[in-house]
Amino acid sequence: MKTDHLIAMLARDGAPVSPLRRVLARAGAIGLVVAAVLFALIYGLRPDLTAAAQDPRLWVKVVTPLMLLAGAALAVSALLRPEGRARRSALIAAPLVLGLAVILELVALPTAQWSTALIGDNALKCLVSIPFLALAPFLALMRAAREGAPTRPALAGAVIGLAAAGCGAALYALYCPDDSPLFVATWYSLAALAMAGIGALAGQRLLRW
Amino acid sequence: MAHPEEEVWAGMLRDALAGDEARYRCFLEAITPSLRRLVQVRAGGIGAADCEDIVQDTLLAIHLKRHTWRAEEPVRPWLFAIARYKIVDAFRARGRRVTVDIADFAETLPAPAEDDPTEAGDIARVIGHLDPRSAQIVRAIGLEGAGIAETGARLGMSEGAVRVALHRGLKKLAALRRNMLE
Repeated sequence: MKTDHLIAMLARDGAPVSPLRRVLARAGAIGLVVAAVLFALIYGLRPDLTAAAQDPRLWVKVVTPLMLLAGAALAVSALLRPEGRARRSALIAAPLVLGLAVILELVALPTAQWSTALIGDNALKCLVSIPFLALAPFLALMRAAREGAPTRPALAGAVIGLAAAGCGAALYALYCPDDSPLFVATWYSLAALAMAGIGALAGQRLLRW
Repeated sequence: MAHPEEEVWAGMLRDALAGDEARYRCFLEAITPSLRRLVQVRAGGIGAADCEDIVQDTLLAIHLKRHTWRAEEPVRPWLFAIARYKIVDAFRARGRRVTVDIADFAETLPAPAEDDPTEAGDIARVIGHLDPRSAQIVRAIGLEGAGIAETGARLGMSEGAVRVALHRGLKKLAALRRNMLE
């Protein structure tokens, strides 16, 4: 094919397109709503939520996933543009806050209670539920991301996994009875890392262009 | 401004994204010499036909990913990031490692117009793997230079249907080319 002909052909396919940002925002919103509905149907808010909200540890548990979600969303929207670079600071805020909470918890809690707090009531349920609630945003974002042009597809996929995990974890935190930052830093992080790993594998395969 | 083409290209692409086909064609024609020059600079040792293949793959990628450009951002870094990705990909496929430095793009002089070495070359070769309808449309428009309306009349399709099939065909072409490289 002659390049001139190719150009003429491409120009004829010149229908208006929606900007990537809009495509991503729509997908993110859909994923969020589906996850919230699943959460309401299957889990629901923990009965003592109002009382638990007196405890700053509950806030840490809810807010750090939201920070992860926001940071990862910013990073994804940069990584899906060919010239885009993700700022590391976008992803570092949530681990920093959580790390600080862990230190405070270790100071406040007698050493004998550390392992109880870490193991918590239901670590397995947490490990299963966060990826489960992350699934809808993950699929929606991954699908939308195929419209993008990441020069590092695996990294973009991993960050999509983190964004989805942030969404799943923020919801699950409203149900989860374990409030200790030791628990959150262990099991929530494990779930988020698993999603990042799945995202990297999926990105490597699905986000090449 | 260091790169006088920046404003011109940005203006053309902005109009193109709003649906102006003529301006879009001007944009693609304007950037092609720079892309070609860039590929030639990076691709010492591979033939002219291979170079032109990479140029065409890059144009196809720019086309399919044009919505990833943000109108408030400069065009050149965006454009050259796509080209770099495609060049590295092409060289990886050819079993050579190359690194493409952004500095190489600073001095991209337009390459002189040459006879197009790709007569029925690579992109044309994968057309046969499209579904028959898309293949007919891509052949008519891409190889024979027919217009949308003309193609529609010839195949008994509405213009809208031709556009949809053309778009799908181009996406599929890019995927086929990518698979061929991998």
